[in-house]
Amino acid sequence: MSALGFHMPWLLLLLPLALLPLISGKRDEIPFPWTDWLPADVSGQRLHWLWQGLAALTIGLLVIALAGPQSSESLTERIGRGAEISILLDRSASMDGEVKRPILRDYQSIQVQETKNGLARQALSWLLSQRPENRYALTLFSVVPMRIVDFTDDTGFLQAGLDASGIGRGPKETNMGLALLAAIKAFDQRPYTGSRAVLLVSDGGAKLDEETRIKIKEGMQRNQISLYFIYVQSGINTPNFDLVGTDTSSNTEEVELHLFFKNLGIKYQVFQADDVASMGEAVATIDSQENLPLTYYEKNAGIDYSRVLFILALITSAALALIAAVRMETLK
Amino acid sequence: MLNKNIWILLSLIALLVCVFLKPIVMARPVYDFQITFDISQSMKVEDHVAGDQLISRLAASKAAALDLLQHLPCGSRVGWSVFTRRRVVTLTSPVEVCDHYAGLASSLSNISSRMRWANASGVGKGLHQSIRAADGMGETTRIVFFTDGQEAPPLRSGDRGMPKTDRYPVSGVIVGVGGLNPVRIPKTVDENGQITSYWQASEVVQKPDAPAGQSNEELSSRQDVHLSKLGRLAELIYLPMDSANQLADAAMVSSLAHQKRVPVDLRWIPACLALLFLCLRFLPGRARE
Repeated sequence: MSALGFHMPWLLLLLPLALLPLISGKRDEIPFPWTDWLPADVSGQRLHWLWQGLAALTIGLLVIALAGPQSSESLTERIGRGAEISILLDRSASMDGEVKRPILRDYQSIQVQETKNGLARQALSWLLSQRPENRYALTLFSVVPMRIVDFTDDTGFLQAGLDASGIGRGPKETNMGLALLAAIKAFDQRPYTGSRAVLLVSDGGAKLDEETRIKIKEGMQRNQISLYFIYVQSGINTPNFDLVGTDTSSNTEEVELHLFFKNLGIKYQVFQADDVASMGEAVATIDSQENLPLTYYEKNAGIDYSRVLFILALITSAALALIAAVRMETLK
Repeated sequence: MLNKNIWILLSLIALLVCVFLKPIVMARPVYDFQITFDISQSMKVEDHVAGDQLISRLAASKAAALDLLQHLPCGSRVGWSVFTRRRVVTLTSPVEVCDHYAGLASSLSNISSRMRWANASGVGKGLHQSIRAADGMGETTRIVFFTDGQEAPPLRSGDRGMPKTDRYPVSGVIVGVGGLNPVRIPKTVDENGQITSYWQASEVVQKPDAPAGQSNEELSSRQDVHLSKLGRLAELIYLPMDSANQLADAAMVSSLAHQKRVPVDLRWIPACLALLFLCLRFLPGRARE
């Protein structure tokens, strides 16, 4: 709904000025010694009323226009394709580290290395620019989750949050359990309008206690959330999730987390990324999958009515000038 | 008759100008602020007087930041950061305040002491980091740094606790929040935000070089002396804040502004003239005798 508001409502206190033309009749009188014998000037009287009315109207219009009338932003419901994505980005110090790659066999000079955080930001920025009609929430996490912004379509602001995650170094430790619960919480009390996903970007695993596991499982299922885990590989010795199950010797935190996610009973997919291309691929895959009908609201900018009022005032004052000219003519 | 109706004609001309006047691009003062909140535990102390109630130092800081956000002219930019222990984490880099007002306001409301990733607070180090971060955000970026100035663990007397900032030509405002009477610092809170315990004298690091019994680091008050010293060293304005609306006055000054060419709507000038002319025409005069 759009409501009418004023930029400077206190200016409306000047509205009584519009009464001036109605009370200043005396000044226009022309003295005649005796008027009783004159025929009643009906048309002249009507013209005077019109004149007063137009003058009052012009003053009123001007005052209202100066007060800056505008409708507030209104929302139009639209149905498009997309998803509500709660982005959960690891902001711990390890993400500031560079991605390590195996030394190339032909001993090429090593190209400029990207930080893991830099990779993640590039890929997520790409997603924002490709799908501005998606709703995103952004939460950074280290040992505590930090909600940067609740679900919004203001991609410019989301971008500012992503940019910020590349400034300085993050805190050392991580607590992924709290972070996941915070990302899930972003969906609580929101009407279900389309597909929902948590997009977790991290370079590490986590040990989750039993209570946290239950809460995460319950929250994910209750809110019907799919989970995407972009695992930014730390180096050559990181586990290969494709082999999980065949190679029982791997027992790292990452694998444990992966297995927990797999058994949540929700849609889950893991991506292992270590460069811009693989990161981009992962995000593009997520984008193509989270493409169901989504009800969203398009914001219509508030309308500024002052121009219309100024034009109306111009017309009424032109009419005033015309009447003034006519009256002078008849008085000659 | 003619001399009176000349006002009508003038008013008509002014309105013609008003209707056809396009916004004019002019250089206007705007402000870019990266605003940092100290979210360490002492900021939870409720000793800021707002109206007839006491609110926490962090809540007072957020209220002042919101007031500033509402007063900044369009074209200005604002970003948020938080600070605790010895580290500043930037939450959002500066964005334009009118286009992104809703996002900025919602993001500000999410800032809380629950974001605290560690205890302790090295105010000087945090200030230094926020200056360094602002320096990397472009030369128009100034800082606003909300803190009570409580260093935990305490500094040795004479220590500034802040690395040199000479290399970074960043200006801005340090905003001191909190009361002047030392009060207990909350240690734990329950799920509803109710304080369940306070720091005791034996649990905190006391001043290393103070005589026994002379150091009360378990109590906290606004450290005006320390903060104004940091302000002098880093060439920042120090504002001891007693009410939320002080910040906008202190921060929106020409020394912290920069000029930006923005389209300015000047239709109000001819419109006011038209209104004035009409009022003059219809001003009640003395009735003729």
